[in-house]
Amino acid sequence: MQRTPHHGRAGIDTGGTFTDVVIEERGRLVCVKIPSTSPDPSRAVAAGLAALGRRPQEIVHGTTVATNALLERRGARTALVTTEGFEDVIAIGRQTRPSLYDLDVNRPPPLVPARLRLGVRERCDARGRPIRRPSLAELGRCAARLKRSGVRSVAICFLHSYASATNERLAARKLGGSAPFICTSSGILPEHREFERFSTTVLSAYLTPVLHDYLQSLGRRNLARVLRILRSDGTTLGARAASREAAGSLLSGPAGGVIASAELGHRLRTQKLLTLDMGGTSTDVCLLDGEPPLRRRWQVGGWPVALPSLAIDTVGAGGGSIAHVDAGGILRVGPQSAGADPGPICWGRGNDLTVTDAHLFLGRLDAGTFASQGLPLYTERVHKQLTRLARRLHVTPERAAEGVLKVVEAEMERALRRISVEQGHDPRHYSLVAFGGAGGLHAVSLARRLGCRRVLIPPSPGTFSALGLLLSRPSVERSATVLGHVHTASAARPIMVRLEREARSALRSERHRTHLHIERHADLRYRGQSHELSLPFDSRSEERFHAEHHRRFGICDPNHPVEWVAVRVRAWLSPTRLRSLSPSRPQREPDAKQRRSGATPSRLSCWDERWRRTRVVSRESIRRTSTLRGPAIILEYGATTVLPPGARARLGREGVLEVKP
Amino acid sequence: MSPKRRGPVLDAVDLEVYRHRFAAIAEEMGAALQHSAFSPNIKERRDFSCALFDEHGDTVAQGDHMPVHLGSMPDSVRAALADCPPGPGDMILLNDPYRGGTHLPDLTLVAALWHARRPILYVASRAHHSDVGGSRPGSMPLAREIFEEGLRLPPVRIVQAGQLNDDLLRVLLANVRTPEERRGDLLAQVAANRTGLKRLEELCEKEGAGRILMAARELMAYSERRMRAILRSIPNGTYRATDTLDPEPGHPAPVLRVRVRIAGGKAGVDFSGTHAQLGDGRNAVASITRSAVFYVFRCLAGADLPTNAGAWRPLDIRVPAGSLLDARPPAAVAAGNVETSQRIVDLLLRALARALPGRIPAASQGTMNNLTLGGVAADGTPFTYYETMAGGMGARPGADGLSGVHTHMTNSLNTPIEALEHALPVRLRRYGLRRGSGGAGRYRGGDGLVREIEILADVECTLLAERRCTPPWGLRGGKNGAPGRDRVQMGPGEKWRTVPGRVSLRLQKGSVLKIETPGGGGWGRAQKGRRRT
Repeated sequence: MQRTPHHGRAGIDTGGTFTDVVIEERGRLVCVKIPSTSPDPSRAVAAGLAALGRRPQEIVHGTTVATNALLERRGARTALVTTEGFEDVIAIGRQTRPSLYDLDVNRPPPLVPARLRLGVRERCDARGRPIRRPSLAELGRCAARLKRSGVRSVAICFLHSYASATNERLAARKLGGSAPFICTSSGILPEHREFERFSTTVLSAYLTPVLHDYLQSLGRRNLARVLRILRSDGTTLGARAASREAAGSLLSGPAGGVIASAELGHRLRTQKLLTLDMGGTSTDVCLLDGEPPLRRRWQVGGWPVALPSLAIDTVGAGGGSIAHVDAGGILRVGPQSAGADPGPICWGRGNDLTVTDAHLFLGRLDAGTFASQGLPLYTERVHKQLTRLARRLHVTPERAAEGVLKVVEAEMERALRRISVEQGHDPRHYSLVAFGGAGGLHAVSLARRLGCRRVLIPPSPGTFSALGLLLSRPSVERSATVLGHVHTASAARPIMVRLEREARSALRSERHRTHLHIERHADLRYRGQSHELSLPFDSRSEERFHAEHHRRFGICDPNHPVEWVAVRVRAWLSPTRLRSLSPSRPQREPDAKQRRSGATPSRLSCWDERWRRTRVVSRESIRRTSTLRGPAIILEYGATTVLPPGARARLGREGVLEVKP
Repeated sequence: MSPKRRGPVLDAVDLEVYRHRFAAIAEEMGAALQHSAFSPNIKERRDFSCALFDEHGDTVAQGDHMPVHLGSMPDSVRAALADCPPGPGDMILLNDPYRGGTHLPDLTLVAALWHARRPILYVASRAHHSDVGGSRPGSMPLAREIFEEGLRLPPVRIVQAGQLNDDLLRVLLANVRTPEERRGDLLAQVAANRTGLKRLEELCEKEGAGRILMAARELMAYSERRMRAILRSIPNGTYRATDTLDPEPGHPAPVLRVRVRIAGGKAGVDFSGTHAQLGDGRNAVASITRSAVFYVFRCLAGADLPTNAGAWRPLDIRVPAGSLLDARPPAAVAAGNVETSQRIVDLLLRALARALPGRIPAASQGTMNNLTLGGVAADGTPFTYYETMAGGMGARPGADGLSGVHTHMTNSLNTPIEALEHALPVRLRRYGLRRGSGGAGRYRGGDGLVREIEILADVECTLLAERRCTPPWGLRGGKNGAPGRDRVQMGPGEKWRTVPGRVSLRLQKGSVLKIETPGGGGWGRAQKGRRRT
């Protein structure tokens, strides 16, 4: 295998349960889905490529390693070194409570406990002028304390370091030997507002060692010439640069599915999409109106992250979520997940009943689905456990299984409502795009709850996110704060030229492929304001600012002085065009031939506690001209779609299954 | 099969969509206000509220901004309708506490959505301006009469048919210390109202005005049903509580008294027996007292209740006229909104703790620790600054109180230190938790804050704070939280001097002000060796 020459590009998406690989080679797509491996997810990545017998030129990778470490609070032991007197800034936050009318409101405890928050006597004023330099003796004592405490990572966050990074850099140099990882707040996010900057930096310090270890172990496997990581904003970055700063890759996992959905919407000329990406461990949702939406300020696990990211929300519910009866005798599902190991009961190792097991019991999953991924199914064990659950709830096993699905769907419905209805968007005007291994099992039922008129199931939904990785684009952004010393477009121009040169050279290694695009922006505001508007940069930027201010806020004042705050250059390469979004079957699939012939015509499945004869069809056997009516089960590699009674499906353009719920 | 658009009947899905649409419009107004504002108090601390109202001035939706404005925004709209009804393109400005306002720094701007030649809905934005004139910078002085507190505006037409009324604006700006900033912030409020009107117009175009008004009515009926259900879940009975405000030197502590009567899905809240209005600014106008009552019952109803006028219909609130909870002109009122309102909430909770022992927390810090500074910077430009400071939250049955957090009637952010030092001649020396200030107990009260400010130019400073003498109480055997404490050092090496919680000071360059905010009360008797982490 080592001797095979490198060919093509691979998109590899590591989830909590499955690792999905899509390889593009001379316009052809092949894919495979294999169980994720823990604690070293890189084993599954290597196994996936081996299963396809490929050595790609380039891998674009989406990973949830950093996010999972944060949610489970498994990040590195981290210390904070900050200006003396301000050690509690990350504990106080902005002095607010997260919900207003709630007597039981809570905030997550800080990622760095009080005894690892060390103050240093140093200070700058708001313009970056030094008032006090940190003394070398004090930094030496600080380094010794850090060493003794055994931290692996240190965040250095000084007041006003966005204006002058000198003190932070000095501290970083002197503390360099005391821990393997050092992050400075001026390096991560040189913007004013101490809490947001400190918090983003601490988050990054806490997670960078985790991401770094993982990318190291992946790199050692020598799987491709180039390894790129998908970032939260949907662009990609070389692995080495990405492993220096984890805060930018927190949404690396779910971003791929959103990029693929945007491309699908573009090809189908459908702007309004709600995406539902349901895997084994979690479900990600996003609302698209054309381009994937970006936000600059968002939160993860209660922590603000002031770096650009796609507007994706995540809930901890998926196919592997475990059902249990709580102390009050109520049926609960999740947030614990059986993951890939042990996995659902039906895989043979687990003992906890999951959402997937409930589907299997109700006859909505077919042994063939899992057999194609090399997993035999243990149906009897599922029956036994489900009967036990039903007894505890005093209901029939059918009702217990349907109850598990209802509970998990209620949680997903809430997530979809938060991003649509609660933002003033009517879900009835949106199509629900469902993918991930379990998206198709719940899509129609959720569409009915939300009032969506159409469900779209892309081709090979189980590997759709990995396909999105192949559609992402390499990009770099360079910015400079110019507040106070630049007042006109002509004064900003030389800075723009320098930023552009830097951005171009950062992407030089990629240039052979495609066309380079440059976007230039200037951030302006009225003197006295705190929030800037970002406008295309040219000699007319100021005029545009007044017009944009009027468009956004209904007022403008051309006589009021305008401040130049920052200029930024974004350079990006056109994403590779794909001829089609449909991968072909993996070569080793055992029963492909049998399923293409549609050999399993029907089986019993349960709907509203009634067992009904249900058609089972393979996706390939659906013809463009015919309409499929529910109840029906549609099988394909890596995913199953169910049509409840009353739903109708037909095959649309781009191989998309269109369902009228 | 598909649901009919623009049909006459609204189903459960429609209502849910409208409820969030209305709330989203109010939130978007808030975002427009924040993003185009000039003063740190609005753009950084979000000390504002935006809301939508029906043709009677009843709240249709309010953004999750400031609870203290819950009950008082509708009074602003009704005052505008009575005195100076807005025509198409008009906006009405007011701040008079005795005519729809709260305290003078809160400027409220009201506009109408006109449809088929009549106003069908109203929008309003209210923002706390960091100076509106009066005897002290920041317009929160220690005053006897409202005339000392700043410029008083009954409802007046500041925007007429889309044009700013320059004459009126000149009068306003001539009476404040920071006219440039006031002008910018006022225009930001105009921007907020225009944003709200634009979104409502779009909605009317798409859905029809009839449907929108029907949705507003239906949502109020829904909130009313929910509130009645909550009240029915509280055991019937009469519950009483008494507390006192901090005393003025040489005077007895003013008494606050409440009687809550719960029966048949209704609540009667009666403040009879409360002290008469005071000679200082801690008087509240009745709309503030109502806000505090609304807040408490809103908390009991759960986070997902739509915030609208329907929820308040089952509440019958009686406040004795001329008491410190329904002050009459010309009483000073600056601290009623920010201080007394917090104490009313704790008073009500104390009464309800007898009815719902497993739900009600101990007393929280019970103040907002208002600090105003004003002076002239080295370059000759005048400045004013206003900020409220968080403290300890009372312990809950089942959990410690949070530390360093704003509780109850406010949730305004802190001014980032970096923004503060950028805008004003001050330098922060310390900003941290005040360890050990929360009351002990089975569950601990949250800790207060310490903020130490070095002054870099001569300033006039006013502090308005409560809970400096009477501590936040614990519940069911929990200990009281530590009261707040305020000290000044007049120059390097000078002695620290404790100052009262309500004080005006002239501070010279080089002096340092140190404010320690109260901790929350504890809950339940502490059990030895059984401390949870």
